[in-house]
Amino acid sequence: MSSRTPQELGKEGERRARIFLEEKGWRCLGENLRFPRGEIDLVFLDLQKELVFVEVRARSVGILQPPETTLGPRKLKSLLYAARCYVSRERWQGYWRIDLVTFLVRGSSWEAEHFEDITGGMLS
Amino acid sequence: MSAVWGMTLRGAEALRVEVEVEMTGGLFVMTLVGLPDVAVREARERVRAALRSLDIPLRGRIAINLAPADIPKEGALLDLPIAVGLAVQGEVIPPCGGALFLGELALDGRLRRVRGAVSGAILARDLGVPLYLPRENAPEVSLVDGVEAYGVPDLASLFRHLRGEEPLPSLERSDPPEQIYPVPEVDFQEVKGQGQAKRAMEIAAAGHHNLFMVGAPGSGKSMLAKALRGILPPLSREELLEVHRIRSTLGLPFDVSPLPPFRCVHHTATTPAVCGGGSRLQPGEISLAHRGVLFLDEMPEFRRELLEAMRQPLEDGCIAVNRASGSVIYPSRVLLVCAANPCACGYYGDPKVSCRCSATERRRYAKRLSGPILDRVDLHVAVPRLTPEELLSEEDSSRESSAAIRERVLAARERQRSRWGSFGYSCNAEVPEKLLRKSMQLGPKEKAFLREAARKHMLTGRGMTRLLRVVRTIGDLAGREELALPMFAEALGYRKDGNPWMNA
Repeated sequence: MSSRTPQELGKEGERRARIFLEEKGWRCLGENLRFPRGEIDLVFLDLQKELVFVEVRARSVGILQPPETTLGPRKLKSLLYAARCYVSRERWQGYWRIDLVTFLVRGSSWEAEHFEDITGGMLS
Repeated sequence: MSAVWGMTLRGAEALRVEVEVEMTGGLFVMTLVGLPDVAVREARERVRAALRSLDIPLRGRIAINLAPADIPKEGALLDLPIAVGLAVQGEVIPPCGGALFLGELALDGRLRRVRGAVSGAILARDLGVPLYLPRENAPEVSLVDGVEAYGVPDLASLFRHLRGEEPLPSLERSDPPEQIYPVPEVDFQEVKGQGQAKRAMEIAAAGHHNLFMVGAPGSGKSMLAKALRGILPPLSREELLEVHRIRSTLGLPFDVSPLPPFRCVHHTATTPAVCGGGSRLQPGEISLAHRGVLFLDEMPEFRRELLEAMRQPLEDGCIAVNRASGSVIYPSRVLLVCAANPCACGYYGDPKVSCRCSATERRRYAKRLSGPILDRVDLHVAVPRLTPEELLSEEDSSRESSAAIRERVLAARERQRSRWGSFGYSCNAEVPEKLLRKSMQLGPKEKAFLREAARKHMLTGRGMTRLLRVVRTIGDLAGREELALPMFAEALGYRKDGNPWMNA
């Protein structure tokens, strides 16, 4: 399985994340949206009708760092930028947030973990 | 839009702060405007964590405005109104306009003690609204009359109360306990000799007169000052409230006993520490000693600037602290007790030990105490070194105990209260001269005596007033309304000119 390229790993992760969140009852609004300075893996509407942008990260075991630590400040900034672009394009008036779904790949097993509102702790 | 009231302190005064909250859609962000200081800005994290502990998540763009916008807000006591404002806006609790909230939040939603609760209670009373404050602050507030106050242990129980589910008990007004005297550190019975000083202490305690003790090292000045503490009359409810209002401004622990404050200041103290100041316009020692004793040991060692700064507050009973950040007036009606050696070596005027100071040195030492300060002291008293016989004398039951002296002092203070109470004064030292003269009918003999005293001792206008006040107190101690010539003579004996040591 280690023959998978990072690109393949990422694609598979996004597919599994979509299934993972749809099983929670969330509605998917979009996938792989590209903006001039950033992209969004998945856009969902959660059970409270809050708009959720989801970033997906997958990593195979053997690399020391867990997947959630791979999201740096620069990536967060570009995520925020892209999300703002989406919100203004769609004229979204309600609440929105950014979530992270990570997968730890161990052979054929994919361990999912869901982090809600990853930018919430950042006060201006 | 919902409005909730909090407060911020400006000196000892509480200013009403309106907390406005707006929530709109968007990514979570909380902004706080209205000149918050760092402690207030950090309230965002505490409030968010406390609300989260009650499963109240915050979402969207939140703007919090602290009005009026041009007054700087300080302290952690705005945590609670911010949390309540957010909860009202999030429709967790019904709107509760017209209530004052103060309290610092812990991350788990408990309420912590805050500074300035007494001022807050006075503000709530003036506004005529209920007050919600941390339960640890409840005892202080029970001194304030006519305020509907609730001691709140944590945010959850406050919300239950505001929803009407489980009402909190309203705080009862409590009276300070009557006359519980702790055993004084030093009882007058233990002080050997020093009859004159003891008598002066009694007069000082009865009439709230300033006192200055001069004596050789080890003659018992500090001991006498400690003993004074045990004979001071207890504070009335109003006085206690004044004292605790200042103490609560600094967040000092609350003490229910009605004993007057006793503040001992070391001579290394700075002027702002004694007179008040700092960026937060804090009260100084002279205000903390309000209605009680301010004891300056080794007075000539104090920096001159500090002593001079105390002139005006000693005379007016209040001190204005003016800084760039604003100006505040604090009360400072203190009984000043100072102690000093007669000269640098300490033995000038001693019958046995000869003084080693030169005349110049003595003059320089005496000059450290300015005339204007000494003029504000009513009772100058010598505390001589004890003779060997006095030192070795056994515990003498004929010596009066503090309890016996205190009884006379209390009776004298009672006479003063009944005489001046209707004018709004509680002791002789506060009474203006006009009123004082009207109350004491001076006969021709007394007038002649005073004229002679004024001529001989160069009494100033203030000196005369202070002399008359002391005479009044001596009369009160004797339990007599009419004043006799010996009382005038005794009072004059305590003037600074009557003290040979200070004329070096």
